[in-house]
Amino acid sequence: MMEFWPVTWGDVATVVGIIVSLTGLAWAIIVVRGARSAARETRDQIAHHLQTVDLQRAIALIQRIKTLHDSDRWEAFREHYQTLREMLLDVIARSPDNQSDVREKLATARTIVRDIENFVRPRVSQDIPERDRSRWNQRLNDIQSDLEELASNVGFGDSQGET
Amino acid sequence: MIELGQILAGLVQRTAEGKLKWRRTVQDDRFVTSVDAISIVIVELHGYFDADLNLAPTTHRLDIYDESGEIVESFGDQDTNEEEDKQLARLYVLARRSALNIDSTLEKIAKALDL
Repeated sequence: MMEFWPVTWGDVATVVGIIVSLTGLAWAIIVVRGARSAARETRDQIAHHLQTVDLQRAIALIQRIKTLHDSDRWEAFREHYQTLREMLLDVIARSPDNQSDVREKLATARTIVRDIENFVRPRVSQDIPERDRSRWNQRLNDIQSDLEELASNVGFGDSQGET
Repeated sequence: MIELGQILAGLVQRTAEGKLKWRRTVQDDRFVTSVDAISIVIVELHGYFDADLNLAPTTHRLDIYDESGEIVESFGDQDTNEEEDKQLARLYVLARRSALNIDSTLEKIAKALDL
């Protein structure tokens, strides 16, 4: 026994050192993974928040456009339509690829908004028939309902399945 | 390369199965749906009288908008063969039924009539 340590202490120290290093490495991996997971969760929460804010802004803008329609202030709303389309484009761009149903609703809304815009633009200097006014507002109501549904969807903005 | 006929067949099938929901636009003869962030619009172009008072037939057009909302492709009767024209007409009928919820309305009538 007396001869064991002087001869083999270096080997034992090496083995202990390796064990300590591996344990430390494993611990570091666990800590880094936890940090990455927390960072991803925070990023998703921020994305969710930003998308919800964008949607709420779009909903408010639609309300504003409807008010302008009702008060015959046709010249004032043209830039609002462009802003609304850009807002929808931003939300689409921020939506994760795995949320195709969300992206579909937003893309449809974007196309209908462009349609209304194209239809209204040449008519701003004319008397707008009540039937047309009512139809435009109805389409805007449809879009507003869709956006409200998306904004209230708890899972919107989560990036499940992403690595 | 994917042919227009394949796209049309897919759109017709998915719409007929109720997997693709179409929406109204501001025009009665124009309906929109989206696949991911790509929008597809089907339009009915009504016949008109030309200079010789010949009535041109009703045709259909399919417009495709990319993710940024720009129109990237448009297929009308100039670009389609006879079979594709039929598919466009079929798609328009199905899209209209989908957007106006016609099936649901007919079911309500049938229920009210105890059919």
